[in-house]
Amino acid sequence: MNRPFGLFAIIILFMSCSEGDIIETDINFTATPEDCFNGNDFVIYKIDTDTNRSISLNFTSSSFEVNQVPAENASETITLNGTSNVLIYRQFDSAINGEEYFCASIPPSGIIVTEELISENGTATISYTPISGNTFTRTIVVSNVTFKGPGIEIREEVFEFGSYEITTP
Amino acid sequence: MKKAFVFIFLVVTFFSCNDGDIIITSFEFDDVDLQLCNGALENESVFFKINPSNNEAISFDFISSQYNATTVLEEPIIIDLSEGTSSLIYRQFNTSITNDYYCSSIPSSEIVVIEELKAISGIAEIRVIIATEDDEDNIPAEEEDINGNGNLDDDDTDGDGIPNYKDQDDDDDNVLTSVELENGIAGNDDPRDTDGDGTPDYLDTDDDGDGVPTINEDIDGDGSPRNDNTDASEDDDTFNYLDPDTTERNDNVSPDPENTEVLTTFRTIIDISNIIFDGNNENFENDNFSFGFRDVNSRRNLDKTPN
Repeated sequence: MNRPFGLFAIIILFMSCSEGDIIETDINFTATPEDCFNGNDFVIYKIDTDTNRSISLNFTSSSFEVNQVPAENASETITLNGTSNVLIYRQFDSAINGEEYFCASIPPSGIIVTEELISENGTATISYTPISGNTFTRTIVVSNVTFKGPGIEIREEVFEFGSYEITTP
Repeated sequence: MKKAFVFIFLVVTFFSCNDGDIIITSFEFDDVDLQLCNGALENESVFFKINPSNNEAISFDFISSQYNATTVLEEPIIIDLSEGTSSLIYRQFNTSITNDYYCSSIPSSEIVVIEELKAISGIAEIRVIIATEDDEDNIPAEEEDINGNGNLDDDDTDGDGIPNYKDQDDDDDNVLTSVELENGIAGNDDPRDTDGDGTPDYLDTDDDGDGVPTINEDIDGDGSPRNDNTDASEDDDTFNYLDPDTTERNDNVSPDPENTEVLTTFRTIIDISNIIFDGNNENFENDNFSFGFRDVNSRRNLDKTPN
């Protein structure tokens, strides 16, 4: 009688070790954003190379252009909708190369996403500040975002995505 | 003793589920459609086939400014896979994939490549031909082989340079073939022959047999005989060109230079030869792979070149 009970206990122990971790995900990190596109699908992303994480703003637009500034430096707003427009946080098992990972016609193999949080709502505002000549700073701020993942929800009223320089042709 | 043995057996069974290396000896993509998406780079195209039953896919990515799915290539495009910008990749996945796996701006977070073969050399040949062409006049192309010799291109009733199977108006009488067919007899699909002379209206330049060619019964000269009924009355709603009682004529009309639209099926055919994959894939049987073809339908206008 004792032995089956022991085996049973071991099995329970063995099965039960994977769940119930306390997740502490910090989605904020500083890195210079980059961009890419395929047709009308755009991605502005930043990568934390130390911790193999990325945050990307994926959106579809017929007016946005990576190296253009709207007339009178007007801001552009993108409403996150969970389908074509999303903000995605990812943790990878290994280092990624942004240029090979985003907007790749053939996705890279061998990279595994170990954690993913997606915001399906919120509003991204892309604004422009002239620096000199045809160089501008593009700043992306996303408001009212809720990053959701398995068993986790992070709400940020104002999420500072970051700024980078663009040069118009 | 017995228990220990059972336990070891169970442990062995548990760990043996991971079946190690997968050896791929041939590709099985014959039954799936060839797909195309536009890559992020300029003039980049990705052809791919997904076999959902094996969670596998093969892709061919290349850059060519010459390739357009609806432009016939006089000479095939030849791509050398050993040169940087192109790739031929076979992959097996942990799950089934959909077409948006390729050419998407952000990769799926759930799909994992469990096996990959990359071609390090090979020659790809891309051809674009016209597979079929049709005037959509409701007569199947094969029934427009008037002389019955099996060649559709030498049947040009009106001699306008466009063979009947591509000609929307086979007799150039400015009444389209598609509206000259219906004979109004229930259950009878024969093409209409108004004057009963044995030549159906769509091939007959004088539909009503009154001696005035149909094209000249366009009294108002607007390019269509289908709105001219000079003896219209309560009992007569028959247009002049179908009414032997009317023999007025207008000689200032000529065949409409339009009516030349055809539905063209452009076919892209991709064959890859002399493939060598990376790694130790000595088991691989074929060094040639045919991607098959992909059809695109497009309407275009032909040029009339009267004989």
